[in-house]
Amino acid sequence: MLDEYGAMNLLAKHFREKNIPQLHKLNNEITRGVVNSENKNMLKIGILAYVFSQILERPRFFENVNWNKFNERIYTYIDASLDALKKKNYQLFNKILEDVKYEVLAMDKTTRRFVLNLFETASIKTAGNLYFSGYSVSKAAEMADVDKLELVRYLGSTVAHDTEEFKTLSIMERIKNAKELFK
Amino acid sequence: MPKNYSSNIICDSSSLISLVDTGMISLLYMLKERLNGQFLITDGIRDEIVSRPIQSKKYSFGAVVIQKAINDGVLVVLETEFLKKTAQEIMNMTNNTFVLNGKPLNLIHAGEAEILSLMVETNSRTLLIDEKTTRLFIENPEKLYQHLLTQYRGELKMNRTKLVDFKSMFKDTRILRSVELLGIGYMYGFFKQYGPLEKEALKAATYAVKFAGCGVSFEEIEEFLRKDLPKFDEKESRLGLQPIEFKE
Repeated sequence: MLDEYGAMNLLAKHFREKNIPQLHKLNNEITRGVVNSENKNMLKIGILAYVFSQILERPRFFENVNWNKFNERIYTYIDASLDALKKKNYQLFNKILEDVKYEVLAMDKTTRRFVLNLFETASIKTAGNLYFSGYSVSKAAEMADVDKLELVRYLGSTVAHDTEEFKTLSIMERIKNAKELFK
Repeated sequence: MPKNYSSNIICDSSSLISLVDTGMISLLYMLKERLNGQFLITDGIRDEIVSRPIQSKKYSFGAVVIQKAINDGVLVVLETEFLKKTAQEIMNMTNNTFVLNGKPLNLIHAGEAEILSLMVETNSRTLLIDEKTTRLFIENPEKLYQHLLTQYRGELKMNRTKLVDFKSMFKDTRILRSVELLGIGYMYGFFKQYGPLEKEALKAATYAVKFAGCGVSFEEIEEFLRKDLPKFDEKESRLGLQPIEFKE
């Protein structure tokens, strides 16, 4: 089973190799694992995997004049975070992740086109996956540290509710069941 | 002896968000007039959909709309200090029902447990909720189990004892989603304001609540819209007659 160190190592590998599908896969794998482990550090790595996949997909990032400098700094942070995880220093690990976030957002800020920044988008999508994997909407929002209102709206834009297993009573059956409530 | 249930509807934030986002809050005003009980929310739900979002640029308008519904008495807020013990009991049942590789899956949040405990403590039968996990727990936990099996590798067990306890607590519970409120509203003439576009307005509103996050599938909506929906005749209803029967 994947632990924080293993997950961070994979994240570093896929980012270095610019392997977008594997970064997505890592996000999915971590998300499912979190429903069982409730490990928030793992979830942060999963969200970062999604953020990195988005960075690699967008020319506005990798065509930016500061791209090489940004990359160097990210690699330095990744190496430091791996060191911290090896020593099981989770406090330091979390501080380093905050630094990574700061670097990404600084880069994002110069070319941003949407209200939500990359981390917010990644967190919402990850929360959506947590919901689909079984969490209630409030639980998914809490774990991914996103606003429930934002998550509910995001779910409406997905096919999360078009799953056969989620279907129980029909709309008409529910209305029938409720008719005695009304005058 | 049969339990004497109240006709209150306990509302989760997920449904209120869908209704506010689609401009359908006036439906609650109309249904409040016809409801034999009240639309109840907890103070925790109020914090979620009013107190916190009112401070944000993005969500403050929805928060204002809901606060107005509270001020107008359409939504009634209950303080929930007294619910803690029952909520804890519910959390214990739900979050120990499914066990993956020896570890319980904590699928339900304290907020959802709180509204479920409000149902128990107010002797209410009806829950308005758009999110799927709590709904599946109440209506068909086996389906939730089947879904979890598709999501996880390893040994997934269902703790039947916990499930039996939970089921006995909520055996008479019925669930409504925002989409069903629209259907009920239609039958009471809520969409008459759209004139010849009445049925079209219902159709548009049902899709709108889905896109706003209501846990309903396209298939369910299409099946519903294919039906010849009955109407509750206003005059007859005021005379105390029963609404016309639903066609199968």
